[in-house]
Amino acid sequence: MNCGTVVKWYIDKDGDKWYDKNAAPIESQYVPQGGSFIRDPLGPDCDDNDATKTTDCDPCAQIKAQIANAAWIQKLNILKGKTALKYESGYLEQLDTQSPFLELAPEGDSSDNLNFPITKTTKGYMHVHTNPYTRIGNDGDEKYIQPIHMFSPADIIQMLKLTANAYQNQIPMPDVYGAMVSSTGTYQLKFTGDTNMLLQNLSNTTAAMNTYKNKIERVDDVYKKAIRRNKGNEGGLLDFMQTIFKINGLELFKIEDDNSVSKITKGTDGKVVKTPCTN
Amino acid sequence: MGCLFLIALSCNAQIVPVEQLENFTKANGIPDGTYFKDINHLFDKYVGTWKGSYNNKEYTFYITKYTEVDTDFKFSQDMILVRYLITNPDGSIVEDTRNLPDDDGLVITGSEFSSKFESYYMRYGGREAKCGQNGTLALRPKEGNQMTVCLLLYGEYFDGWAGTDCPQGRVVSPFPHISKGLIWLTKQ
Repeated sequence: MNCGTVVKWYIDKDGDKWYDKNAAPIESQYVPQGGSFIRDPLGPDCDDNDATKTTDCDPCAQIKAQIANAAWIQKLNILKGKTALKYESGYLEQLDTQSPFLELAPEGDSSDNLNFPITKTTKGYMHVHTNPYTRIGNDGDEKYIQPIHMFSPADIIQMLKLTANAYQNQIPMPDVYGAMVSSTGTYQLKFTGDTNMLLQNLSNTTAAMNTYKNKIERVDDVYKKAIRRNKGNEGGLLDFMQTIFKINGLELFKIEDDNSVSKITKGTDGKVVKTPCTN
Repeated sequence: MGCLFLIALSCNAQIVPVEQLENFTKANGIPDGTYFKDINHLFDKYVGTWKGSYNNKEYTFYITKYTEVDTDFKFSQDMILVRYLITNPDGSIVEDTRNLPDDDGLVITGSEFSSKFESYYMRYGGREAKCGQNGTLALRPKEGNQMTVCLLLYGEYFDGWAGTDCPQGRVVSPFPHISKGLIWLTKQ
């Protein structure tokens, strides 16, 4: 550095190289005293007291940033083109910015389920819930399969496992997501709670599954009942997460066809409320 | 709360044919006290004892009618339950759920009819349900007192619910996937 060059110094209390966005930078030739200052930060920190949190924590801003990412939206659009197929497809997203997306393959020789190889650097996933289709057995029997165009109980469990993975491997929680693409809507789950809530969610889900004797299919039926009682998938999901799995901090967002984003919640009257993201 | 619900069920219950469950609930949600009843005896042809073999194993299904009372969502629904016995050629037992209570996780519970009412879809969970031994079982009565059984969809597998619980990986179910085969059972 040339003597006499004035540079900007940013506060970085948690040492993760993302600066405190609530503190103005100091311009000086020398390192300012009385704090943790860095030059050339990676960006604004949503929580400068927590090294596991970086960038803007607001889920709306996080999702908007994903939509603005050409590589991410490209993968989403590929999945939108697969809603009429008779098998699931999807991607895992890793922290690696060079090659972040891993295409999910069917598990074994089954096209019913995707293999989800969560690793220490997995931060999110996106997958398709297809349109209804007819499956023909090997004796000519026809069966009509009607996927629900909303996260399933299994998807919720998968999302909770991603939050646990992020907690164990110091992956920034605002980066963690689960996305579901269907011909009638694209949704995303984000976890906005704290560590205690995360651990409680895991405990409550395990307890709920034990209540249903670990029959995920039985839980699917309970989920359908929640959808029917709420006369819709959005209300059904929120009701199910709250009353059956008893989890908190998992928020639901919808990405509209024009790429605008809304948060989906339930009002005090039990009806679904859609709040457009403002940022 | 459960007692009050049962009183309401008997006095003010709205009775809906069980085969109309999906259409009714799409239009109305689930009003408290609704009873989805097998008024038209669609389950009669499923009830009984059924035997067959598949993949060198003997399968016996014991199918009974059952009315499930859902105290969470305050309605009730007729269905069938399946308890089963699976044995090897030498008589050794692979699985035996014959004497389990109605609410045991190993008892196969009813869910819904297929769209043309030719099959009934049921919820199966095995001893290793957490490790993939689960799925939707499709039962389809056939002519000549026969019935076919297969997994319509493979079960979910994610290595346990909150952690890593499946050191052996996915555990295979004793019922074939629809793409692999069918178990043919004959009514006894």
